[in-house]
Amino acid sequence: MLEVDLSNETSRIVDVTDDVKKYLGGRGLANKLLWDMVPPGTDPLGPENIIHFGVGPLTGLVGAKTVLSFKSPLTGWAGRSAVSGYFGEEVIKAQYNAGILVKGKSNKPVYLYIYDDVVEIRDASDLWGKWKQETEYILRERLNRETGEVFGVLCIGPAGENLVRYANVMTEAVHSASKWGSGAVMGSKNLKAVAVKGNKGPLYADHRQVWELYRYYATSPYTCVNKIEASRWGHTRSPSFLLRFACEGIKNNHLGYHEIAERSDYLAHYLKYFIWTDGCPGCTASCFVPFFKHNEQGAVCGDFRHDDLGGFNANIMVGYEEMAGITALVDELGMDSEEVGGLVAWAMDLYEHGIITREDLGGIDLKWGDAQATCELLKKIAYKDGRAPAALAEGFRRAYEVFGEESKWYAFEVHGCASATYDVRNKKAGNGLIYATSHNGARMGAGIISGLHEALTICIFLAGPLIQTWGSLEEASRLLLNASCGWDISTEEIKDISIRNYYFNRGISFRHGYHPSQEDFLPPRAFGEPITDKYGTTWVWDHNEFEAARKHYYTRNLGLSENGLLPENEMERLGLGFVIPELKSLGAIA
Amino acid sequence: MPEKKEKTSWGRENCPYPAGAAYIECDEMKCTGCGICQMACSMKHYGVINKELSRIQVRKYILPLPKAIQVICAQCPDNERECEKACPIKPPAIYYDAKTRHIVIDEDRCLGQKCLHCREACSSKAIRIYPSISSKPFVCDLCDVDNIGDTRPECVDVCPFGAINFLERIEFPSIYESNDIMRRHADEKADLISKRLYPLTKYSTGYPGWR
Repeated sequence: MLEVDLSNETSRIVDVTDDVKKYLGGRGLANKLLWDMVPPGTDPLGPENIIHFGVGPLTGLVGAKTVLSFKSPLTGWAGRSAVSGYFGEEVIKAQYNAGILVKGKSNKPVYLYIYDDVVEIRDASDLWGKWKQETEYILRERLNRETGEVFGVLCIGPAGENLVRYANVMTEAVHSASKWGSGAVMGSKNLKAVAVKGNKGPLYADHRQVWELYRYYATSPYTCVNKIEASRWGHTRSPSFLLRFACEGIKNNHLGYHEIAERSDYLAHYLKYFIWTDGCPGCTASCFVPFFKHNEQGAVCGDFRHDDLGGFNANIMVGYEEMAGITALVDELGMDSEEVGGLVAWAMDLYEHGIITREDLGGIDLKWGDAQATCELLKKIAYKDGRAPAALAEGFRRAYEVFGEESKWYAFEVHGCASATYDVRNKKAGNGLIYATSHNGARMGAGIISGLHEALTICIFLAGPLIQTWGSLEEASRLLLNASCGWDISTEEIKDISIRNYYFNRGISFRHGYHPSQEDFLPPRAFGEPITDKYGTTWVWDHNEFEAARKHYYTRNLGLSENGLLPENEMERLGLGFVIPELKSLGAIA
Repeated sequence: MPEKKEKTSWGRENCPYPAGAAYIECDEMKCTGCGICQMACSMKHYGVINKELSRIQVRKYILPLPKAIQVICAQCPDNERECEKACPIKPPAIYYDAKTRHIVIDEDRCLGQKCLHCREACSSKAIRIYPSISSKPFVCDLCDVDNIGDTRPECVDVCPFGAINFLERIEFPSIYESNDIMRRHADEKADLISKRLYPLTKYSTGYPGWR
């Protein structure tokens, strides 16, 4: 692992082999780093926070995910973001198999330059202030002129620089590490970008075996079928369907269906604006389908992912046409579109009901469905310009203090994070229980299986074909890990790693103030505001029903106690005994 | 469940292998940047997975949208073979083997790292070098590693999007084929593709922008 200290401007290589054997890489390893290096009470936007750019033994073989781990500025708990694109592969090719850890804080804007063994902390004052695209392009051009190589660059936009609590980190124009404020952590360290190039190549134990396995699943019929849908539609399709089934946000999650949903027309979007398919290294099912939209007003380009379309889009009463320009702007500013979408929808609701005024918004007439007004608000949020935008930049919980008690009922949040997508009231396909029991904040990516995905690092969109090829994720992981690492690991041990990483990550959240008894609820409207889908099905939660369902979810799906606590025996068995004393004192252990 | 197919190539037309002189042509617009071609190439020639050791390269650009573009030796015809002309050794250490019908680098005579005039002369920089393995450059040999005429390019077989094709060179005297038009650096190809996104520049995903 490459460890970079921005305060002292030093770097060193750290051997973390034992930890990797126990936790794998990515988020798994980062749990140990967070436990060892970030004590409770640490300010997530201070120099004591760390950010780990995690890769694992399988990065570049099943997609190329980089998992960023840090203490989240939004929730204060264990935070993580995952980003694809070829950055992760460059880290593997530079042979930093356990990723890059950044700690401390630089006293001036810098970027990290890593070219195999050469590690430099370079001045980024001419890049500071630039938006995402400009930053990445200028840096890539400069490094290409210097070395002739194409570097992988992760960078933050103005939102990260200004410490918007859900700012993101982006690469290759359309790939983002969005959740829980990784961009703000980088911004707080004055780290504008990280640029990596690896020429050495991956360090596999048995290259031939890795290749045989890779070729087998990458060219399998299952991957082929996955490729057909992914390379054409990307992720634009599902929101169109989900919107009809009361499974996405419509008008700040007030409605189960509205005709605005029909304007999420993925076919029209594809036929008018699709330009080419792009993908990541190690993935033969490429799912990036950027759009290019050109009309009399100008031109805009970007890519729709589910996060732009589920909790934004119809949630602010627009369709795909308007969303194109909004998505591109969110990416340029460098913010999590899921979080900001929920917040903007909330702001529209508050504006309609007079809880915030036009003056609060800096003069914006924030009406439903107004894309222009939305774009103005997004810019103000990124720069914390104005009373309401500055409050929104801090996330729901801190904004309550500014907007007052009456704003709370309108907020559709779980754990202080926007829960607009996969409407929590939909018990069939919504994410109510997943969000409510997540120790990272309302989001998928906190369950047990993420303990494996994000430690191997594999892309979840390829997990399907992987499982179909080999029967289970554990079996697929076993084959690939043994070939790439030269281990003799069993599927039981892999299952254990998955659960270990999940418990550990949850333990870290506990340590930083999370407790299910205080946090694991759904917003009031989930119980008090039924929604009806296009076809007449109505969804709403009853309190007792929710308590029972949550208990069931804790015990059956997450392997926790009935109250969402960590099981002591299992923790001991999994080698997490060392965290028990402290967690016990926090009431985290059952 | 779909039946497993016998043939190793997939997702593309079932083209027969060319009988005579042939070359690899990459369809830039189909490439998505997965790099399986690079893995197949380095595995075939060196027994390792190392994309930097591959004779086919995939470079990624942002135009401003991300785009992967391939670089491969175009197996240029006689009068366009800049690498051969540039070689200071006579007869050239890099040459088109008329019997096996592809470019060959004679490592015994090649001056290697000290020279690299062939690489400089090639406008697409298709000739590669990886000093920690060898001081001699390497270039696509159509997977004919022993130079016996057995050309079965691995990259063509594995490309999931059919972005790499193995095509016959037409040798009838009345039809001239010129690969030098294909033989462009990926940077130049990227610039041309970026024209599709006019009026956007690479500095912003919006025009005239939101500021």
